[in-house]
Amino acid sequence: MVLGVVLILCGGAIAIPGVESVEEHVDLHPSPEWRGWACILGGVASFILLARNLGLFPATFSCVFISALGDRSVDIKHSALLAFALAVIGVLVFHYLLGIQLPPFAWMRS
Amino acid sequence: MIGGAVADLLHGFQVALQPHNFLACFIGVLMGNVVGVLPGMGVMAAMSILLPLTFAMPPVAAILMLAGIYYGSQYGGAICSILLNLPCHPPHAVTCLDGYPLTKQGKAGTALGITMLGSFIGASFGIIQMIFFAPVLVAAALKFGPAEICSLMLLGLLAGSTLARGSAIKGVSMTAFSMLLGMCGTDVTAGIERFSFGLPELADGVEIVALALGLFGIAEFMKSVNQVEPLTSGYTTVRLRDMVPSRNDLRVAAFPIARGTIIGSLCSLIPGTGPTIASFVAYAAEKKLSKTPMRFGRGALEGVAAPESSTHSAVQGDFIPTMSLGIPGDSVMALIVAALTIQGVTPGPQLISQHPDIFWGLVASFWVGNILLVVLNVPMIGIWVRLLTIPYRHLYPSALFFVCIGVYSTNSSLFQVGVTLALGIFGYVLLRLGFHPAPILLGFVLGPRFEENFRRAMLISRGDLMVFITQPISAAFLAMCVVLVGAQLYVYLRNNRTLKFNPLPADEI
Repeated sequence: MVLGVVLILCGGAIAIPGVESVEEHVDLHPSPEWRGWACILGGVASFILLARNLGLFPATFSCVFISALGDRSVDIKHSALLAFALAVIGVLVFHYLLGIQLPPFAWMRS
Repeated sequence: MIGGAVADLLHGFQVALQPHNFLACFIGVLMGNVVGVLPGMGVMAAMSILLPLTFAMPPVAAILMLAGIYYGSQYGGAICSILLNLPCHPPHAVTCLDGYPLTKQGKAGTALGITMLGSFIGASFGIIQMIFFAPVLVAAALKFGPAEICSLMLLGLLAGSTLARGSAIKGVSMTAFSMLLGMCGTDVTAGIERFSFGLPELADGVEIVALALGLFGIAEFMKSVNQVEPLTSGYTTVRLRDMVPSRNDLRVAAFPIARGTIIGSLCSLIPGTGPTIASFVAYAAEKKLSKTPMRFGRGALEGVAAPESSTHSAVQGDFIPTMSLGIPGDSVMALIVAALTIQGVTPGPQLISQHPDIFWGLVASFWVGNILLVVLNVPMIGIWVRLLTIPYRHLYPSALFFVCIGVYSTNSSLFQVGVTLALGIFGYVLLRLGFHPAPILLGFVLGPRFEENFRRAMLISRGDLMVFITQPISAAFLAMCVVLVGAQLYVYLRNNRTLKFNPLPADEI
């Protein structure tokens, strides 16, 4: 019952601006940034996939590297270095120091 | 009463100065300061990245650290605005107007010095206000039953979603949506799964960290990728000697600081009007009061002093409703409430009596932290400025990694990382459509507690909805809700009409 009430409220609340917001539009972004978006989302997605199958180290590397590709002024060598450094830091800090359950590499799973 | 407060405060200092608490506070303000200086990094992102790390800490240290990030970033944000004309943090946008012209005139040191002074005075006033105000509010709030708490939360939610930036209706719909999101998972009282779409991973609900990092991490990065300009500034050499304000500067800035402080503390008491609004109001008031308003925008010291002290006073005052009533006023406070809840501490009127070390330790740490910030900032300006040259293309991929690992570590679940990803996309779409994500966090934190108290009230009154109107305190809160909505509707309709017939300037309303 409580749920129903809130749901009706939500429906109403969302429908109203749908009708009214036609006149007021704020254009914050001049151009779509497909490359940036795709790389950021791809980076996170690759983290999920690789962390599940290959371990923390490759997951971190790919997450940082792929998302770094989203910037137009990207430098492949620098990004790879950054990704490598972060992967090392990530494994050291999060695996050895804080003890989270992801193994650095999948074959190291005990 | 004053004697008691002083004794409590001394106890607070004992707590705050314990080595590990002091260290937590120090790390917090340092992180906050760094985040405040870096363009494109938000306070919310920093706090939510560090939130999982605080799970392992004792509650006091965790709260001191998170709070430190919040007010520490305010100091950093001012540096960015004054030296580089970059309004990276909304409360400091208005400081750019006069801060940057001062920098161009070679008076950056003076502006920064006055800012530090004003910030410290504003913050101190906010802290004193908290010491005396919070216990009074608590005394009143302890008499509240579930019905009163329910009405109060409704008021808080309404105020938080309508008074904040952007369209009021969009704010309300965001809050409503977030309450749905907060219900996701197993129902506490009945044990039924709701909105879990049959996925066992969703049975525990959506993690607050996942939500916060999705909305304020991934969505923010999507917004600012390729949008942040590389920095070029020739005004970054500030010597320590320049920062000591002259007697003349002090005379000019004294009253603006006092006025800004008071405006900030008033703004902080109204939920939904945080530091951003406080700083804008303070700037406008100063310009109106000034005998020479044309100097504003061309490097008036008052235009830096007033908004900065106002911001800091509001930042500290923000904690009052959060710590005394358990009702957060904005998304940052919602995150603090969430952190407390995760630590097993129920925020609310009982907090001060049940966990005096958290409350008074926090109050004392505000002072410790503010002194630390002044000490840190004065000699280290040069380092902060150099930090600004870290390009964004290195910053956001690193931050993204911390987002992933932060969400994962909350309960070792990659599924929640996926939830974050989805919420990030969703949050970005909302941003583009002009919905502001801040009320989402507010509703997410308050929603489940609202529901719980609503059910409790229903149990006590045997399902009689009239209980909210027959109880006088609850009725008063509900009346305030009605007034709030009514006033907004009135202003909205009036605006519409005046716009149609004769476009009046906004000051008239």
